[in-house]
Amino acid sequence: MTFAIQTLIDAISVGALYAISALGIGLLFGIMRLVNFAQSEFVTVGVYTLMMLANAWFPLAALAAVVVVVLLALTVERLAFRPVRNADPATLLIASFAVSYFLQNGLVLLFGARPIGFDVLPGLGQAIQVETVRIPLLNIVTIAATSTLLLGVGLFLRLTRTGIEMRAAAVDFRMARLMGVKADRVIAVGFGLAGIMSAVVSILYAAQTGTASPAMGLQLALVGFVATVIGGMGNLPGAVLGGLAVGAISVLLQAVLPPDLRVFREAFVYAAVIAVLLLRPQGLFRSAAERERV
Amino acid sequence: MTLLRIDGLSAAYGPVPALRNVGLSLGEGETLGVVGANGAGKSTLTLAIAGIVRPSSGDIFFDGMSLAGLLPETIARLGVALVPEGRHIFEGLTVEENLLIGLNGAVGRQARRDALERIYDAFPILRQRRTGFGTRLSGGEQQQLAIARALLMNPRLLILDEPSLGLAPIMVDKVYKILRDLRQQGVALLLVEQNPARIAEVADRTVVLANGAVRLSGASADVLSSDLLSRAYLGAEEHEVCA
Ligand SMILES: Nc1ncnc2c1ncn2[C@@H]1O[C@H](COP(=O)(O)OP(=O)(O)OP(=O)(O)O)[C@@H](O)[C@H]1O
Ligand SMILES: [Mg+2]
Repeated sequence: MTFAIQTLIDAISVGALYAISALGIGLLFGIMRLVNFAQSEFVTVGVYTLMMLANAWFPLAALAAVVVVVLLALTVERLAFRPVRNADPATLLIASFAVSYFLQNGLVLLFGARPIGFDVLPGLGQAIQVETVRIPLLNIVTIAATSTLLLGVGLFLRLTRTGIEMRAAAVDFRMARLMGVKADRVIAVGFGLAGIMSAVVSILYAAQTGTASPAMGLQLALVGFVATVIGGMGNLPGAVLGGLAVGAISVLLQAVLPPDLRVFREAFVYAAVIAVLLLRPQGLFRSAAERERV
Repeated sequence: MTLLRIDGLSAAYGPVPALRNVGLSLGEGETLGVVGANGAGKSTLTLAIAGIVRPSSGDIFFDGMSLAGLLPETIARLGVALVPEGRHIFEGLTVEENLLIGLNGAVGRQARRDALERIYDAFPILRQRRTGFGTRLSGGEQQQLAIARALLMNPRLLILDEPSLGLAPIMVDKVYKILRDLRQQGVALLLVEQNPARIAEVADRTVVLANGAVRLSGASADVLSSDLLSRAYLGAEEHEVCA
């Protein structure tokens, strides 16, 4: 029982990180058919920013990470993706690999390829004891921060005019433009949001891993992409649920698989993704009712 | 006063030509029908006006201003609203949210509310269903939503691409009633249909497209009763004008 509750809390906190990664990827995919693998580096650059400010007052370091990552996201959009915006998805994908590769190697040049250890809020290493269950503070903070962020983004997308335009653009970009929604603005806001979410992920990820290394963001972007596939391309709530599901499943597999199979955990997750693509290419979470009636 | 003028417009999808040297014009408050068979280029024409399809040659003028190179959103904000083939209701958005997207022009909460109320008065079914998903409406209701949200853009020219496609006859009646009312109110309309049966109810003049070119044009009644119509549909080589 104790073990089950601890695993569940673990699953939720990993799933929540994945959910945010997936929301960033899903938003940009919906709007511009871009699978933004450079989101890995948005997270990684955030972690390096925190590493450099490891001795500064934490709120200041966190704010700096957000500012740096958002500026990076907006710059990448302007310099790398805007010129190829109308290209086909394959070209966009290659552009996103190029940006990702460029940034990653930039980090190697500046900081070297080896992981650098540092501490973000060392106090989070402690745990609180509830009856027999030990809950690491870090898990609680992760769940609180990610749910606040998801709630905030959700309210923004639901209640503000710009948010409604973002959702419209994510499901039918061309129709949104035909109704006067400005492409430049929607895309910039999309990258800005992806930047904010990546920065928050970088803070939590840095606290979890305690290291900065140039390729550390890749896993998150991959999972984000996988989660969008599972949730249904362009379906934002679906992407969030997909991220939660992937995170939870991989933690649960880690817990229940016999030790000699654990190394194949990712293989199980990706096999599930292939199954989804084959059986339900529209995603798991797209309800029949929401689909267009002809 | 000419609102829309198209001169020598050609467009292609890669090597496939879709429009060849199309010319037409539309006055303020006038209604023009565009008919033609499958693949004649009707939708391409509407998309070219709206800035989605880039012409390979020719000019489009709206209110005397060239639309060449303008973004679709800029053209929309100038007052050209397109209700495209297939309606394109936003999935995952409620009826009211679909409508709100059209409200770019209205500034201020009160102005938006008023505009929305006027539309709800004209389309009661949308008020009734405003909190439900737009894609859950029936086909005819979706067409009303598509027209209503285009009207919220306060267009000077409303382009409709096959608004009766796939609708039950009673719903087609309803849509055509709406179009006649709009015409009465002086909104300039460019109405595309594949089936020309009812176009004369709305359009003052009609042009027939075949293979991407204008084959027949003139007053709607004349064009539709002309024995040249079926020849034009099948792609006669010459452009004929009904006197
Ligand atoms: N996206 C596209 N890519 C390539 N060819 C296209 C595309 N859209 C249309 N075409 C081609 O361009 C020509 C004109 O098509 P268009 O859709 O404008 O015709 P239409 O008159 O609207 O036909 P329908 O009555 O079937 O809607 C056709 O030959 C069509 O096959
Ligand atoms: Mg068409």
